[in-house]
Amino acid sequence: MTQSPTPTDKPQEDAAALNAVLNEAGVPEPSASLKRDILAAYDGVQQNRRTGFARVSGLFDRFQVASAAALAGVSMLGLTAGVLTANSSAALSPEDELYAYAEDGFDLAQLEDEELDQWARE
Amino acid sequence: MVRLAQPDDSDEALVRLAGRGDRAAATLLIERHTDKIYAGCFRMLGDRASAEDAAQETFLRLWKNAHRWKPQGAKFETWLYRVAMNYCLDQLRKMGREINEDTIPERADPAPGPADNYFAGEQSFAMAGALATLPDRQRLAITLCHFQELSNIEAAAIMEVSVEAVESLLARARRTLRDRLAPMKPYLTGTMSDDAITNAN
Repeated sequence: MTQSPTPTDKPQEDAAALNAVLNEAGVPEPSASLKRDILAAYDGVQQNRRTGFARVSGLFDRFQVASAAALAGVSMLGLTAGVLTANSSAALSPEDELYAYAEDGFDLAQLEDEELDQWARE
Repeated sequence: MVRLAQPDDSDEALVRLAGRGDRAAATLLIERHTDKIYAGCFRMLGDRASAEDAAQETFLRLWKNAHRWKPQGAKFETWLYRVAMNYCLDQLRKMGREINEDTIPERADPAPGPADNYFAGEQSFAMAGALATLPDRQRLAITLCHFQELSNIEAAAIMEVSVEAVESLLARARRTLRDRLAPMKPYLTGTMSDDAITNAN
C-alpha cells in the first residue's frame, strides 16, 4: 500500500519537481561563429585604437615640429635684436655718468669732513 | 631553489593584457566566459539570435573598456554579468515586452541546427514559456541564481540590490513558475501519455 503525501510533504515535492525541471531546461548551443565574431570585434577595437593613436601621434609630431620652429624663430629674433643694438650708442651727459656711479661722483669722506667742519664752526 | 614566477592568468590580469592589445589574453577570456554569458542572455531574451547579439555587445563593451579596467572595483565576472544583464533588460524595455502569453518563444525554430535539440526537450520548452512570462527582475534573479549557479550575494552585486531583495524576487519567481507549470506537471514529470499531452494542448 502506498502512502499518499502528507500536506507538509507537498510543497517540498513541488519545490523538488520545480528544481528538477529547472535543472533539465537546457540552452541551445550558440552558433559556431559566435566566438569568432567576438574575437573579430576585439581586433576591430584594437585596430581603431591603433588608428586613433597614430592620428594623435601624428598631430603630436606636427605640434613638436611647429613648437621647435617657433622656438628657433624667437631665438633668431633675439639674436638679430642683439646684433642690431650691439654697436648703437647714445651720448651720455656728465650728469648721467655722475648718477651712474654715485661713489665715483662723490667723495663721501670729503663730504663728511666738510660737514664736520661746518658743524664745528657753528 | 629559484622559483619561476607563474604567469597570472586571472581574469583581471587577462583583461589588463587584452586592453594592451594581447590577443591571446582576449581569446582566453572569450573561451572562459562566452558560454555562460550567452546562456544567461538566452534565459533573459528567450531566443538564440538575440542572446548572441547580447553576448557580442557585452564583449564589445568589455573590449572598449579593457584598457581602463581597474581591478579594485567589482570582480570581473560580476562586472561582465552586470553589463550583459543590463543590456538584456534594456533590450526587453526597448521591445516593450508585455508579460503575457505572447512572449512565449516560438516552438519551431526556423533555423535547423543545435537549437532543435533544445526545443526537442518538452520540459525545456515548457520552462522557456514559463520563464518568458516572468517579470524581468524575477527572470533575472532566477537566471543568475539557478541557471548560472551564482550565489545570492553575487546576484545581488550584479543586480545592484540587497541580498534580501534577491531572495524576495527568487521566492516570487519560483511561486510564479510553480503555478505556471502546475497544469503541465504530469506532462513534465513524464507520467502523461503523448495522447493526453495532445489533448491537454
